[in-house]
Amino acid sequence: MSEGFFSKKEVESQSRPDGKVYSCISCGNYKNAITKKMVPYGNFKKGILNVGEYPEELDDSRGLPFQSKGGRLLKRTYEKYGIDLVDDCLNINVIRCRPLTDDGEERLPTNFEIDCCRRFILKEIKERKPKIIMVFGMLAVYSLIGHRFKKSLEGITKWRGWTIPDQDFQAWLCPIFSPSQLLKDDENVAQIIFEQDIKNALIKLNEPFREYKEPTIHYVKNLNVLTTITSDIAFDYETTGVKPHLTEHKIICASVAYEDDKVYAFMMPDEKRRQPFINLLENPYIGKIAHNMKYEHTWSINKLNTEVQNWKWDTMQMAHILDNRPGITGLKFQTYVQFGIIDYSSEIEPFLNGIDNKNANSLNRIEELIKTEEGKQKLMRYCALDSIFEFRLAKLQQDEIFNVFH
Amino acid sequence: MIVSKIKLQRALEIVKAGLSNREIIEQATCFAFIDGKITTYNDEISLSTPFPELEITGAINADDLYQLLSKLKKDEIEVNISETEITLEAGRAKAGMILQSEIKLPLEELLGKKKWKVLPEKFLTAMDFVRGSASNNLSQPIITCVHVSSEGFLEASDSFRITRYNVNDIPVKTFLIPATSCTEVLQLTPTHIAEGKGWVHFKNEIGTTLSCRVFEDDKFPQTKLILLMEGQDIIFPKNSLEVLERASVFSKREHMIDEVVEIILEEKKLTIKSSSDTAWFEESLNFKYEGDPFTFMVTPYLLKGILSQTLNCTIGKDKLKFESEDWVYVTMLKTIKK
Repeated sequence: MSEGFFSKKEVESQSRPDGKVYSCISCGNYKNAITKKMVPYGNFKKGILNVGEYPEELDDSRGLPFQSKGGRLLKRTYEKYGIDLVDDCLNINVIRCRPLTDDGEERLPTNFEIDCCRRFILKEIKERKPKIIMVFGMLAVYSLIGHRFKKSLEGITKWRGWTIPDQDFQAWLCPIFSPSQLLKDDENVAQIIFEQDIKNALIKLNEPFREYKEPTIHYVKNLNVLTTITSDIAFDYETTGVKPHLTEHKIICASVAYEDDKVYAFMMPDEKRRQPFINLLENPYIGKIAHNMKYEHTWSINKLNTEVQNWKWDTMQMAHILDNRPGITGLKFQTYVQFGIIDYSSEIEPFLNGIDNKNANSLNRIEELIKTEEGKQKLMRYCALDSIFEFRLAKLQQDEIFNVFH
Repeated sequence: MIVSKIKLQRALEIVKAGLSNREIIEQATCFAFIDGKITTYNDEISLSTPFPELEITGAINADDLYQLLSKLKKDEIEVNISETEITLEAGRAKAGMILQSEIKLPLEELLGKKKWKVLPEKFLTAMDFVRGSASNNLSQPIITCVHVSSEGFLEASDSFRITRYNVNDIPVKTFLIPATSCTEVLQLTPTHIAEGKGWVHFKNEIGTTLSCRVFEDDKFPQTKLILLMEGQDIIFPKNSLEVLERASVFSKREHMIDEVVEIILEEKKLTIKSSSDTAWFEESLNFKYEGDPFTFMVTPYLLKGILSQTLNCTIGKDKLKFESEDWVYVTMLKTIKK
């Protein structure tokens, strides 16, 4: 379980994310392209990095990205906002060589080909330090997010429009429809959305980057510390399953975020020692925040014999109210798009999956994890981060609602 | 052309490690004959050895050629080539194989002129010594490599142990080479090294070259501070080596770097344990130690190398260090609950 001497970050490789070779040779696209291994193009005066999908015919013959119809549409759109595609931006595609079939027809690149080219894009980001990265189309999303996001990416409609303060890249990452795809679809609505997304993304040029603040996590055994809390809290449970109704199920640990960067985390003690926590949940003057409050509410009733008072905010419901696209309300997705933290759960995740996936009442493997002190610590940290992100998300959502009405 | 079967077999044996078991790249499962050399390439490594006796250009399915040669009884083989076929005759046996006259392997990167530099004297010893500490976990790609630093050392770590070996005058820039490729480097016993873009090349006395892909744009984590440690000096029992020999019987694995034994340090007792799927071993030795009980895992061949040079070590709060003039080995200790 331990990371040992080095952190996970220190041992990750840019050139070989999973240790395998991703080379131009194994990709092979360079053999047929007129422009082999196209280099980035633009003066980059405003720090905008445009990441397109792949070189089309005209790009390939001219040796420059964004020369085709889609590129011209992007150029015109940018001009409306005073941005010059060449002077202000740096332009690249996730695939540097035009992908062709054996018959010489243009085709979509494969994920493997994108994997092979990824390190060149990452290198540009690292060296050029863009302020905003415009990510055009799903292939570009796959290139820049796919290797880090552990869940299914799904389609571009899920990603477009977010302005993500990506902490790995230290830049605002802005997925947008691919301009080439817009021209193919010929849908006015999509073009309006495309333009809106560009406009919203460009606002970030003048906003400071939203840096992630590491919270202070207090791992506590004596829950009397909870009696000092007087303001709203976000809280979260780690449990042995999804549904609390089976007698074998337990709440293993809990966390309570009481400030933007302060959180208590604890293994759930016996009935007597957990009373301060119960008092906190029952306190009608302290507002409660959760991500899917129904979950915490039901578990509290069934396992702690208490009904949570003064529910104030459900970040999951509010995420849906603010944006009703499917697949975006999960906490991990929200944590990435709002705070740029892409993965804080992959170490714990295997222990949270049900042993029998077909049975909703199935136990997960969380009790295996907590056999060691190290495992307990990891679980509590994960739980604490859940609460902190819920707390921060609630604040962001409240600001957004406030802005809508004022 | 008449060639010696044994000589040809030997040459093929030398370059065989560069074959791929799947055709991920065209002709990656072939022996390529070009410029009087036999070459193999699998995108991770490439091997090339001189074989001027066979003046052909083309690629032949490796498996077909290799299998056939192993079944031929006569040493003298007559080789004839046409545009598309190579025929081999040995005694009354005759065989034909497709000869792909165009070499499609991407050898241009590897065949260019290289600035060969003499390998420092201790380079191979160092590589052999440190590679056992590299990780085999591909989710931690950087530490599956041996770090060859132009600052004058080679090091490897799996994040729980670090081995560093000092080698003066490394004549190339710092690079990270997969520990799996180090096996081939050691096999080659090279005398020279050259750097290339994304590759490092080695050459031995008979002119066989090995090119290994390196990790481009990646940096090995800082180890300097971890290697600096203080603590209680202890001496491993004299017969530790002997016990280790016995323990390593059951620690054998397919790859040497996967082999481990467990060392348990307790008050006045040192225990060495090993196990395989079918057997286990345990032996304790008297030991002058009075601190907390600890355990650590180590590759037996590496520990043998260490103990054959020194029995002295330093035990810190959560680390243990062996050190000699040339090298330092630090391992993380795991506390044993009393």
